[in-house]
Amino acid sequence: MTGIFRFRVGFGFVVLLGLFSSALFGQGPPTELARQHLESGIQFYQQGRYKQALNDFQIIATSMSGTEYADDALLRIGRYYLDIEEDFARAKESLDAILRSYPTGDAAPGAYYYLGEVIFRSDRGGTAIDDALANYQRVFLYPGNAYIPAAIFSTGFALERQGNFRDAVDAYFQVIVDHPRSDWSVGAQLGVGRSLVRQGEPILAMAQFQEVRNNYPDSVEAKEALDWLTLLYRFYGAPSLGQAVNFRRDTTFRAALADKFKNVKAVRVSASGIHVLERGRKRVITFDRTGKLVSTKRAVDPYSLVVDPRGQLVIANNKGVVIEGQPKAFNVPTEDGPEQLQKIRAAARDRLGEVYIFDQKRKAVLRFNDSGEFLGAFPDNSKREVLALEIDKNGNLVMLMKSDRSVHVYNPAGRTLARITTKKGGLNLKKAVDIALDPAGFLYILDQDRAQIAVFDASYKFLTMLTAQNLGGGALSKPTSLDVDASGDLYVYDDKEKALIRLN
Amino acid sequence: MFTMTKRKRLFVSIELLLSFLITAAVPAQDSVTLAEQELTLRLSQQFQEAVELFEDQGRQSQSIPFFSQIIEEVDNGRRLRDTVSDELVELQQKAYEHRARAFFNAGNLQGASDDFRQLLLDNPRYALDAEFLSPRIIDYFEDQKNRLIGYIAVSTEPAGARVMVNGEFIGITNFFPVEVHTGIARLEITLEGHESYIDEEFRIIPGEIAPLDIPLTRTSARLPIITDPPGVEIVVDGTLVGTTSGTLPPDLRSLTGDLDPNRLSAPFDIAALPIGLHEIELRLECYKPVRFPFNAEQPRDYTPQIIKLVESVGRVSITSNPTDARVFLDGILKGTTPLEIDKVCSGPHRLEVKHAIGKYVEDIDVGVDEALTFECRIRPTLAILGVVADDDVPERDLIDIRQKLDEALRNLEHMNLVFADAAIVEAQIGAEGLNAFIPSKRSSELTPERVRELSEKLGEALEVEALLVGFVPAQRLTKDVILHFLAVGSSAPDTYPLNYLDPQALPLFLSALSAPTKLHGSWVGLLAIDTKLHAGPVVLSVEAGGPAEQSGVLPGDVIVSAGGQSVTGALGLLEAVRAAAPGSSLVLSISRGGSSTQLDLNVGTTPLELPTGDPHFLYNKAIVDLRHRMAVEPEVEHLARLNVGLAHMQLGDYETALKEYLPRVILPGTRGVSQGTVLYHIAVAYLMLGEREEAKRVFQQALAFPDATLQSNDGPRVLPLVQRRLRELGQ
Repeated sequence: MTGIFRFRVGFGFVVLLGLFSSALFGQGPPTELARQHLESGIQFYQQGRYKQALNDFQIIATSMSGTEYADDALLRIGRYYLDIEEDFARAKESLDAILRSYPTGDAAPGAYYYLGEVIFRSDRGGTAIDDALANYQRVFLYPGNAYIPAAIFSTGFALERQGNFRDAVDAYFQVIVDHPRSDWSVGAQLGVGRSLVRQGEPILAMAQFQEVRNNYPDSVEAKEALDWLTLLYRFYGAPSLGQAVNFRRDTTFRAALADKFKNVKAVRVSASGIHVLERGRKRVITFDRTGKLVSTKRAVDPYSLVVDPRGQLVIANNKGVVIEGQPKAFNVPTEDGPEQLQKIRAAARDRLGEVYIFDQKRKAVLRFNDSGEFLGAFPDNSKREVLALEIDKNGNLVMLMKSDRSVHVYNPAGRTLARITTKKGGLNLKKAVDIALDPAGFLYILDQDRAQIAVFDASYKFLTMLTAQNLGGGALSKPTSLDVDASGDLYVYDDKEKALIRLN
Repeated sequence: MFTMTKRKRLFVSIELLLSFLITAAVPAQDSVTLAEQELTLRLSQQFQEAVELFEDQGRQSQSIPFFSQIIEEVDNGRRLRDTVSDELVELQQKAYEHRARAFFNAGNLQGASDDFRQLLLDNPRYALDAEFLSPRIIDYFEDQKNRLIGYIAVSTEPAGARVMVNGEFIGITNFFPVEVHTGIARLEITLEGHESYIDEEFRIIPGEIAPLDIPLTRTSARLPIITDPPGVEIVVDGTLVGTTSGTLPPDLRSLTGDLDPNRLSAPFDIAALPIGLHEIELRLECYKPVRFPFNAEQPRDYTPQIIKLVESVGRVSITSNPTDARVFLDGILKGTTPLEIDKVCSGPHRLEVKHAIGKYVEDIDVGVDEALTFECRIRPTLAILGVVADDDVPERDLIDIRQKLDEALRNLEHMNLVFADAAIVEAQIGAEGLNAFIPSKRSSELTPERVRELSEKLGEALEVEALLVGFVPAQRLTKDVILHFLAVGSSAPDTYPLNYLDPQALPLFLSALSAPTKLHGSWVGLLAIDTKLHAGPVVLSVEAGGPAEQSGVLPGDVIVSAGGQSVTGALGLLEAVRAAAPGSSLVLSISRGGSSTQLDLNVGTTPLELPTGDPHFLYNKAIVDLRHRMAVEPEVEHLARLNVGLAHMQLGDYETALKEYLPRVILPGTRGVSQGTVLYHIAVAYLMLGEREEAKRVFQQALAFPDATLQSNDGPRVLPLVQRRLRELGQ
């Protein structure tokens, strides 16, 4: 319904724009007018005034389609829908129009590139990545066009998502070597580092991350590289130098709260701070990195807290999920009609807005799309109880199971990627109570009773056990929740101390 | 009766015809007008016809009116124009002769006598051809001549005087008797430096010889000059009078004193030196000029002045790097470097030392006996070809740009600068014009190969290594000019847009042109990384055998400061290393295992490759620089060659990179930028040219150098790149 409404509004708007621009035709030749609209639209876009920009582009696309600027306008409309509204269908519609009407025009390689992006970004289970790659490849049919470095970079990124790290590195290196001055080079350098980590080459990866810092010291990527370096140094660099993996309690960090924490259910870290979910006081308290209180927000009957890939807080309360402050109820179809979930204990949201909910009543993880429509149980209809849910950057779902405290990892299609037994075998955790993922995809499992943390690499291969010895010697007593920031610093809530502890 | 033989007639005809043809073939001169030529032609034909009648004994008398007409028409010509051509005069004289002979044969002796007289009045020295004519007519002619002609023979002391009779030049004394008209004549004998002899009433008696022996009275002095060496210019009172030459005659050798007689010239006579004081100057290039006063008190011969000129030369030693450069002094090739020129005339000279990679030009001033040494730095030469503009660019803007460009580039120090002669440029590139070097302006049919050829032609013609063309696009709000810098032999220029109203813009361009192209950088062989766990960069690894390891740096060391400056990040350490000269040392403060220590880090070097894909980098300028360095710095020849090849690749000219540079590069097979690096680039060039099999073969060779890197010793490793390329190539 919403889609239809939007279409109607959009169509009427386009007609009006057409009339408006027809009136403008009296002022000069269409090509010149189109050029003026394009320049105006580009300026609006650069200023962040996207709607005005869209108006300009649509005038060209609808009423000046015979001009040389029409395909460029369509490309910019496609980019708007892709980047700003994340409306993949409309983006595709606009890009397809370019390839249908202007297949040999200047905008054609851009259209293929962004079509690849539309497919890639809208892909959930990795099934469409090959289609995205095919579109990136079509960019090369137009020699010398400006989208070539972007297409190579995106090829690398898609291959990385596919888990084809060797080929991803190849593609990234092609950007670095052949297009070193392009905007994509820094991202490619970072991509090489990430992919090398996944290939089991952390030391080589560190050299690449440092290259990012040396070559692009003022970039956002340089900061990200520093996080990677810190993280990798801890687990690989130091051991390679014969040093132990050492965390120490940061005594300078003290969460500034007047009262003691009460019944903390979760500690989570996002770009905006460290968030503590207090079930006892039904609130989420946010601190900055120095421990200063930033905000306190009410939370109705909260059970869990996660930070989704967009950095938004997702709180599971008993009867719904609150996403960045907006409560949302979820229904499942029954024979008697839709039934609202009443016993939600955990929830997570992926980068496309799909929500995974553990419902205590049904003892199942249920999956809903970004419109709240029920998609089914995940990964299957088996009964399961979950203590914690996390979603990594690739959309894989990580579950800490209540029954045996094992950790299960599923890809978005429901295929099992890993199953980690915590109680038995070499790991021998006594009571796993929380899980966390860092940007490298490393998995951290918190053992409450032994006050230790098991760390696994991104392939879910056991890496190390952080015990009292390398966690600052008795820094933890009864940890109940943990998270890890981008540089690998650990944030742990200790219920015995009633304190939020940072280990760095 | 006398008759002209056929042979004689033919000879006369040919002679006349040739005479006319030669006259007609010669471009018209002032004295030979078109009318005269026509007259000459017509009268010649008439004369020929008249001679044919003359030869026919039966009709000889009929020829008389024709000869008369010729004589009359030449006389008319004389009256109209005062003078007539020599051809007409000669024709008239022959007409007189023939008419006289016709009269003679017809028995009209009076007519014959009148004609011979008139003939001899016109030309006292006219003679009949005794070989072909009868003795009777010869005798008659000589008889007439004796009645009209006398003879004059003049000798003077000294000889050499000019003799004029009635204003006509007769000869230079002393001479044998010369025919002159009888009667009273004006005789004038002149000799420079002597009083003239003039006789207004000189009598010439028919048939007699009037001998004259005139002593001329001297009015000037004679001064012989003998010089060592010969060839000396003699200037008297500011006027060049002659040059000494020859060798000294044996009879004067006794006069030479201490001088080497073999070096002395023959005497040069200043023959008519007026009485009085004179300033005499002797001058010869490369000798000190000699000036002296000479007082000619009496009109007599003075004893020879023997003057030795002293050489005025210096010595010039010229070396260059590279050697074997051609040395030109004032445009004259003197040899190749290293070169010693023992005798260079004192004074200003233009020294040019030319080599295939550039030249050295200097205006030098050589002092007397001065020994000058020039270590010539051969520099590339840049030719400013000109500035072109879109149609709507005002002319005043163009003039302004040209002036600013010319003024700014005069400050160019590491290149010679020439302003190309437009005619030479046009002759070399013809219809293509300067647009050939402006990618946005040139015809799409103009291939890169053609651009390269044109640049080579121009480079050869102008003797330059680089070309510069400005292009002024249609003006908008800013005043832009896009400079196009092209290395000779390159197919694509570097483009450098600038706002020429910005006072900083051109100096910045100059700086870019002057910046040296780096082939080596500082290198220490360690990998330090940043973490949030350390106050400074932590050393992750050190290169085995590298400077860092040799200096005692260990993995795990945390760098606190370098060169006295605190270091908070790996980039800071890198910059400190880059700023340190290779071979120097850098004091590092490090934290090791919780304690602080210091050590001296020896700074080594790494070969460098040109940056790739940098739109602001002047690759053509690098080509010019590095081709020069290939020649002058043998120790970096191969690295420079590699980078010239890379520059061509960056400009899209893979063919030149492969043909002239990369395959001839030999680098060590060690770690870092090395032979594996070279092979990688060669293979990439083949790949870009579509030669996949060849590319594959070379990529496979590169596999043998797993430690090769790109860019620098710290750059990305070649091996994974090669492996990726080979996978792409299906292997």
